[in-house]
Amino acid sequence: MGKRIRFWVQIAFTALTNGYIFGFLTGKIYTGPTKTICVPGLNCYSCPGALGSCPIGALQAVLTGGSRFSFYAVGFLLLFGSLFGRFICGWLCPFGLAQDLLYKILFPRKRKNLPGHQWLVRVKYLVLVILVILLPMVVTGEFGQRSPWFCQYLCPSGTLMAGLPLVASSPALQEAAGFLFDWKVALLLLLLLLAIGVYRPFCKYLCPLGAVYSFFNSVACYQYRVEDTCIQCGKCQEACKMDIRTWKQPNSPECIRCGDCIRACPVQAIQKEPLFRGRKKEE
Amino acid sequence: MNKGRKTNMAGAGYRRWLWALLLAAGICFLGIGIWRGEAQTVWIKAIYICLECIGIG
Repeated sequence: MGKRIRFWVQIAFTALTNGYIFGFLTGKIYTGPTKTICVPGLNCYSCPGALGSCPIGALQAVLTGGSRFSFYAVGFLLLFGSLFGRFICGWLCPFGLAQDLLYKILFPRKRKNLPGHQWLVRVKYLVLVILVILLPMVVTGEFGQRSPWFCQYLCPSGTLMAGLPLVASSPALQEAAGFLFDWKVALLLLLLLLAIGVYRPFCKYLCPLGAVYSFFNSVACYQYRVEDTCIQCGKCQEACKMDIRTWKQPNSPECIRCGDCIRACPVQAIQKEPLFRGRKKEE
Repeated sequence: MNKGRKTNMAGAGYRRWLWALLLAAGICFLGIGIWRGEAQTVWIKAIYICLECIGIG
């Protein structure tokens, strides 16, 4: 039941934040005032259906505009992060939903992680620092312009939700598409194929937004707590597709709050607990 | 009440303060960003097709 609720929340939120159907029909993007507001997930603002802005895109927009710090984008990230942490990854991100759906496809040798997982999980922090923050701030082109490096060279959500539908609907864009478009499509295909056999590879290893929200998991409003009744059987880790030892680290930076561990626990030792709710006093 | 439980409750109190601080900082930063015109910058970027984002360059 819980899994189904999560699935429908993911679908509903994706539809809500990308509900400009007219954009998909005409190949034009929404230009209304709600584009000022950042949505919590990785949702390209050039998606024809997008009604809001991507926080990573917004951050890069301000950094490439000459500012050294974006109060607006960082404000959204602090707000979303402190309220939800990586609950956003598990319940509200459209590209996370895409990977969840792909993982449901039957495949003989499914695995949770890639080899070298312990080191690969740190790569997303490098992506955040180098591609999202440093390079857009520091590197200028021959005419003095700066580029949104993550959006331009890596973001698969932008390719899937914006690049493919827009290029498909515009002969002019099809003419203009070159090596960069081929690179981004190839990268998207690689990640989508990988997501069939490995659970959420982009979220685990590359997503800078997941990297940001991971800092908030231990302090966000939405928390997990392990009761003293835990018998350390390890069933929570077995069920956890992010491969977290939940009984040891219920608020791990890698936890996307899918709830699989809660359902797997034989003694109901894992509880959801909002941060502001105090624990019951001992009798 | 054992020492472990006391430590946990102290930790929870610290986390609540940190959470409140981060939330307050987020709201303040949003206000400062709007005042600096960054919301306008984001909107202007978002209402035009980002050719870099879609792989056109």
